[in-house]
Amino acid sequence: MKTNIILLFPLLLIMNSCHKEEITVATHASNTFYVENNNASMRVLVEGNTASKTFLLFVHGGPGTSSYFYNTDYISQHLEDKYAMVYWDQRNTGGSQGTSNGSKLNLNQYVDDLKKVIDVLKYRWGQDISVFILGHSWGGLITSSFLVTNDNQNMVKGWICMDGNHNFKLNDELSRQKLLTTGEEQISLGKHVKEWTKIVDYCKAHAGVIDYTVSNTLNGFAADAEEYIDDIEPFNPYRHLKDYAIKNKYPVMPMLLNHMYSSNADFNKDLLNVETSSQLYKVNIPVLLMYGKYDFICPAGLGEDIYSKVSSESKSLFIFEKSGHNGVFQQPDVFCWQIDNFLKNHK
Amino acid sequence: MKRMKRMKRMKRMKTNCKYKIVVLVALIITASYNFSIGQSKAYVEEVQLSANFKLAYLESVIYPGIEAGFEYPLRLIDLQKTKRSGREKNIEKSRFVSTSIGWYHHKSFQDNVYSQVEYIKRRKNSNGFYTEFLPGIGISRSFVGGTVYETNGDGSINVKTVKGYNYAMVSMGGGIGYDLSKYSVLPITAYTRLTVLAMFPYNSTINLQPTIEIGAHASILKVKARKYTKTKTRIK
Repeated sequence: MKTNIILLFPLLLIMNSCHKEEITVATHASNTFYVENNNASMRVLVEGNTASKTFLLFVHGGPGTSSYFYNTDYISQHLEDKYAMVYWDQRNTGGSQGTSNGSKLNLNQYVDDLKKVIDVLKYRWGQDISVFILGHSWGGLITSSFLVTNDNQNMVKGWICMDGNHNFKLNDELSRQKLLTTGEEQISLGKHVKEWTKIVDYCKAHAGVIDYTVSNTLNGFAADAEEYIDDIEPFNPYRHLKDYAIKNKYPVMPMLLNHMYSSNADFNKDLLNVETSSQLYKVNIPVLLMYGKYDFICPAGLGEDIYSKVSSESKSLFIFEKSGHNGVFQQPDVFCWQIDNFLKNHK
Repeated sequence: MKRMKRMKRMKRMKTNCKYKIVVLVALIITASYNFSIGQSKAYVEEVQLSANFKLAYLESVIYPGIEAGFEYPLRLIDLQKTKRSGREKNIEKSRFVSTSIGWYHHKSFQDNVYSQVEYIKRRKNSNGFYTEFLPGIGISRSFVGGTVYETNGDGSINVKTVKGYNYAMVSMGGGIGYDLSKYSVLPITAYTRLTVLAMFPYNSTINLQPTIEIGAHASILKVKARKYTKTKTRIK
């Protein structure tokens, strides 16, 4: 009897861990699955109207944040009833799992991972589904690199770039310029003079070639700068975490440690010279570019660069008047309206 | 010039004074310790101690699980203290080596099965209440919380319903418990424990999982172990 119980215990555990393949075609689907590629099992959550056959794939920022953050009540209520939202955690982020795979972190690997995720979406819901990709911040570089590689753009119906970066050198210089001009303007208005003076002095002292340390410092100032603008809709990441961490079952500790690892991994230094501006002429699918007026991290100038370089017949650049780097959370109503409009017209 | 000299002298005096105070305090502490522990005796004997089976409900943050294990006694130190007031206090310090297997389920993220060996330092008062500290090492096997799709170079896709990773694990925990056998015939101890499991290399870094256990130990057999009896008397 004792032996039976001892044998039964691990058996129950293994049975519990076996997952029946679940593919839901419905107006309110919710499926989690994992895409394995080169020693990483990447979490993919598909929520919403899979019966619509229109899928919007979020390629999150970072490197190192997570797609869990985009799965908000507002998006659920305003987009998921019409389309399927795909929340993909890139390798070494969020709920993605693996062992010793840090050496695999490089841009080409991320691009290959994105391709594999789309392959699996089509395997599960059919080759005839319409897939749109949305790159936010660092996701802008992954999505633009994906589109200019081989014939990858044939796999998707449209590209949405939200506060996205596609050219690090240009990004750093635009960020420095925007901090400088806005800073001087704010100082002349007598607003947050002490904080802006520090930023302006740093920007003036670092004109010209921007190395990794300067780039990181500018990035830090750019994140802080949003707090010194009165017209901006505030976004509190800690409140966001409080509201959704338990509800959406965030794996909080792995998310945090993954973020710390990925955002400081060596490959970040290699990205300093990466750009896709010179290859954007290859892009001919519909493009929607969305940037925050007060985004100092990825200024709207990046969107103007993309807009001027892509060959797409259908392209538009939209500026969020009350947003910084997170228009998706700062002005969710405008975000959802723009997405709905774009998907409706190009699916 | 005179004022400067006077200030220097004052400063030197202040430093000397501080030094003297520190030496005096150190002397008082040393002396009081030596005088207060008046007598100390110890002897060793071989006795039969309880080996325990444990079963616990476990939560990794808010995700449910279970842990079962076996505690093997290594030694017992029976410390009898006589206080300055004459009151006697009895403390049992026991050492165990424990093996356990645990599992928790984080829906759509992972199931984690782990096995570990812990060294337990337990300190029990005469009223049956105890505290414990336990470092451990082990291995963990995770099961990814969903169907896994492996894409091949030729475009084909393999579907895996079970996929997981092995991790090395270290743990550190502490807890409190109460020996129910003090007041009943059942040889049972109720306890709660907070442990942090560190699994690695998890995505080339560490996965830290705090766990809370609420469970019971049951004494299932007696094994031979050494018992050290020590008496300490504080002199008034």
